[in-house]
Amino acid sequence: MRQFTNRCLLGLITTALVVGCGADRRQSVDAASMPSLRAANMLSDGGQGFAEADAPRRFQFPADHAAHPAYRSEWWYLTYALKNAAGDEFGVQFTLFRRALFAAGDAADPWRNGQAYLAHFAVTDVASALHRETERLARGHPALAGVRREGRRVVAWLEDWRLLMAADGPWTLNAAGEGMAVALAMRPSKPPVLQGEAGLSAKGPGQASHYYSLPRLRTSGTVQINGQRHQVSGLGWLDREWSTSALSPGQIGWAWFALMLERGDDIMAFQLRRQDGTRDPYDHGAWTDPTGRRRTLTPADFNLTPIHHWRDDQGVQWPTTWQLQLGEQRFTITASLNDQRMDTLFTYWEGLVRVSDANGLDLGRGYMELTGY
Amino acid sequence: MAATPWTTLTALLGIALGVASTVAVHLVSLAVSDSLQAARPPHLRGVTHIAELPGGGMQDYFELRRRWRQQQRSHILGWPDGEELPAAGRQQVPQGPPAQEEAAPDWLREVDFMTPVVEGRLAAEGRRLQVVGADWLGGAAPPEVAAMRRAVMADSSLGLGVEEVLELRGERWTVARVLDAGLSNGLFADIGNAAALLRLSPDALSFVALRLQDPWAGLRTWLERLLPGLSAGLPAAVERLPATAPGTLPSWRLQPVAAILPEQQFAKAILFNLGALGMLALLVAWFLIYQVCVLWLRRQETLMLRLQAIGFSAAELAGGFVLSTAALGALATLVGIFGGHGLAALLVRVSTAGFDALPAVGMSAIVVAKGLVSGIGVASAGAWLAFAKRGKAARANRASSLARRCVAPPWRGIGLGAALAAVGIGFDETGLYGGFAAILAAGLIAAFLAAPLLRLLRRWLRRASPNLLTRLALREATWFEEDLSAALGALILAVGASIGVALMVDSFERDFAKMLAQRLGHDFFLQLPNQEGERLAAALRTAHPDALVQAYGRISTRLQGQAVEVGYTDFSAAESARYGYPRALAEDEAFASESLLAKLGLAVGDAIGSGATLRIVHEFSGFGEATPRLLMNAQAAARRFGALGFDRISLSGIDAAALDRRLQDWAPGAEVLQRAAMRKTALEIFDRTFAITRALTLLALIIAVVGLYNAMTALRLGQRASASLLCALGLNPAEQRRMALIRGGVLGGSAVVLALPLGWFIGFTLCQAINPRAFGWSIELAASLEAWAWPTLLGLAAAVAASLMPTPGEKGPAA
Repeated sequence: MRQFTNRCLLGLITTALVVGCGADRRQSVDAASMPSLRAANMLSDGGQGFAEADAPRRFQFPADHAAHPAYRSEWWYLTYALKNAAGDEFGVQFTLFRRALFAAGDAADPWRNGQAYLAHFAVTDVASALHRETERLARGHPALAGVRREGRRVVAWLEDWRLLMAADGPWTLNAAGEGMAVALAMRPSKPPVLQGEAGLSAKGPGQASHYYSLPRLRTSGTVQINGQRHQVSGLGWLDREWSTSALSPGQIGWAWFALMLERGDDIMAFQLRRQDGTRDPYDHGAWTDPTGRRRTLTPADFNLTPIHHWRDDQGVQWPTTWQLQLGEQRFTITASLNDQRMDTLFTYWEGLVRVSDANGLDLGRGYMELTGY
Repeated sequence: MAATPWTTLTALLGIALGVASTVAVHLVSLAVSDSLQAARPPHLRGVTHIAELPGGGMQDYFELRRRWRQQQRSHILGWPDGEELPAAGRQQVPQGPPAQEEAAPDWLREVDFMTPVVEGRLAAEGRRLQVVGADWLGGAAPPEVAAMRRAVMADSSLGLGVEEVLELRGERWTVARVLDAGLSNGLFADIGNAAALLRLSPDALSFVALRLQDPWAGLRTWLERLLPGLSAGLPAAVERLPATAPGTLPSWRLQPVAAILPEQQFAKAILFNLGALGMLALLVAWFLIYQVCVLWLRRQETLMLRLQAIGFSAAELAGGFVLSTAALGALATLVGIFGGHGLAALLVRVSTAGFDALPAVGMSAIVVAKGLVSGIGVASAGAWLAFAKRGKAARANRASSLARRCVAPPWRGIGLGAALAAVGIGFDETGLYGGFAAILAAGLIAAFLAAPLLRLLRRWLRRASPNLLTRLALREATWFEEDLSAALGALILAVGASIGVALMVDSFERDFAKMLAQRLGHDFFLQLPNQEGERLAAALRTAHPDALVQAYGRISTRLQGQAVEVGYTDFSAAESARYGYPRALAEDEAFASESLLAKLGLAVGDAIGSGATLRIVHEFSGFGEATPRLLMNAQAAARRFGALGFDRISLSGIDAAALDRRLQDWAPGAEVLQRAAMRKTALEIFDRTFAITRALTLLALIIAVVGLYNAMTALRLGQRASASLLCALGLNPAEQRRMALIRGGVLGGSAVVLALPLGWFIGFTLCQAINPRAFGWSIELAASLEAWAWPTLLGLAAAVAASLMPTPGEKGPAA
């Protein structure tokens, strides 16, 4: 017994040392002494020398699937709601951001062309309550990252992450990292939906982007996560947007939704978050019926209200359940998994959601993005 | 506590000193470590290794990168060839062995990130700039300069300001940031910008900076938190990795980043040594604290017996005792933490005197935790152990118990310690940890031999029957070995460490002075602000035909991935003699520093370099040189490195006034140093280097003396009754003083008997194992009388003084 208590006492001393070590959380010198380039900065602020999205344009495909280097920033945003044969649900997000670091890069020098690419890749396994995300950042050196048109197809890549968009034939997406991998083939089933006014999506006074979506990409392929490989099928959604502008003063983020209902309707709607909490007059969306008819949604047409929040380990409250009032129709949008936070260079929430009616009847799936929290 | 204020005060002082030494060592190490971290060049921050491919270019890097990604994909997907998942249709898994057997070990799998680096020199604005470019977006923390068109980060040595504009290659470049990057005249740019500045093709590549997953990372982090610099003794991750990537890749050579940051490795080794010595001081302090507990308990013996008699249980008494000791420990900890902070600031100031920027001495939670553990934790644990031992002794007859425990020294422990010491010294692979484990083992053996030594003394008293005074003086000391052995052990450890460190410092100083005498062969030494040394040397030779004028240059390069400073001059027989070599150097011959040979695994007689190889004909000691050096003739260097500059000149045979006049005309910016001044400066720097070491060993000695004084005080108080009886029987004050003198002398002498061999062992280990492993140079151990004498005399004097010193204001044991 005495030996036991002796050991306990020694154990206490060891514990005190260990606790002391844990408490010594000084900021690492690396981080403290050299201000890092913040991806959030990369995706915002001024753009002298770049083209502005100030008028509707005439979209041409597949050319507009390719990059628009005259504009400062651009993205290819793919989200998927998939299921395996057993009915287990999976969400996949793959985003490629392009950012011109400065205007007038040296096109002849692959290291100095001024282009940078950032890609985010995430998989959600609803049944296993797993969400994994990873990211890559690379200069626009052809051996590292880029978007190139090759005849009637467009290839976007960041090292071995690769998106192929063909005018005829299936599109493919391949990505692997952080213990997850996807290989998906998809085929557009609807024509591109031009968002905003004929594809010019205004976000504020003098702030706009060119924006189109390809909802309802019929998708099949393989998702691997947590050592398990799943043959999946479902629907995907591509958002393409390019611009030179940034958010207007007073705007601090947004809540964005891409919903695909089982009856064939597709809804895109976003609500800009203002610092003063008021509704932003530039909120808008689009409702496309199964036949492809499109209706623009103005702030008067819809209302998005958060009804349930999830608090993450940093204490941030993320609104993971929303109510979408669309005329007479009321939809409840619920995160399939609360923790679909993207712990990347900039933190945001992006994940698979379930759409139901007022009675809880399952209506479809979609993706939600929350920023500025 | 109140009844024995003097004992309380000395106990408090002892614990506080122990805490202060712990705190001071940690804070000094932390300050130096933080300065080191901040001084790392930005392209190597977060980097653990570099990969080089002689003659390789960017396409090789992209292939390496492609293979790395393929490895990652294979690992995720579970098949070996890195094929992608089938996108559609039925799943077709590529054929291949199962994932577990898939591939040979490959360092690529360990890579967290990799980024290409180009580097080179650029002459601009009257300076030789060292330009480094990295693909910052591929690194750990891209700096803002990655997103700027013509922008650079400048090392503070350039004296530039933020937003300052530089004219480089006919273009205007903005300084986006000024860094203390530890690279003299360094400019850091994005890789494309650096290649453009250096007129390199976009395909050029110097090396690839990598971060490999480190299996020791967790342990390294904890060790660094426990004591900055302590992880320097751990093996580098590269040691378990093959040097090349298998398969279709060419032979990339992988090196730990320390290979190109030798200054950082050097400083870390100093930190490690400092930390290890600090640990010795800590050990002495812990011994002392435990000993304070033993004595404290002995002082309260009467009180304990009375309390027991009126019904207090042993557990209650133990609790009360631990609590009171912990309270004393808490107070001492507070004093020790503040005192340690002040001591750290003082040590940093002393050791960095003359430097522009002093490392800041702060405070951190771990320091407070260590102080608490040493002060309160060890005091409480010591009190508990002391109480537990008291109970054990009480159960048995004290005398018979003591007799039984007289059996023999702890031979098994001694054997184990000796084996550990032998392994630590005998095997270089055990690194710094091995060396210091050997010292620690030897120290503990010596300290634990204190009790057997007291028993031997008791036996000698019985057999030899010395005179009455001697018998009376030593009776209590040898009978109550529990009370004294911890204090004596601490004294042995402290005196031994002092002797060992003094032997090492003296030996080092002797070798260093010998090197200075050899190297400082000229009257004057000129440091030029440019590379025009050869032109100036020629002018001086023309103006003073009798004078001896020698121009020197140096260039930083890498050999087999190892950063090396190449020094060149005309190596005539006289010049070679400065390095202890008897004749002039031939074209294909070179001298190598001891550290270079050790790092490259070469010996005198071996060839070095590819293509036009050089033969190493002589090895020299590079004391104080952080970077390994290679010395060769200027022509040989020019053949290998192209046109070279000379930035230093040494001269003899010109009087100071004439030299001054010449330099005013020809090289107004030159810095002139005289031989005597250089020697003085070098020795001053040497002294400052060891100021902290000396201070720490002195601190350990002071702690040990306080411990011994405590023990002696307790003995004296314990002997009060018998002393009164002796006085009544006619013992006069002079005889009492003689008794104290005998007691102090015999105890001090006993401690010295064990401390002497321990000191020699520590000195030997520091010279022959620690120094070569940490810095790449070995020191010849010199039997310096001074190194032996001072700690020995100090130990003896301390023991005698502790014995003679009165115990003011105390009436007797607490009761």
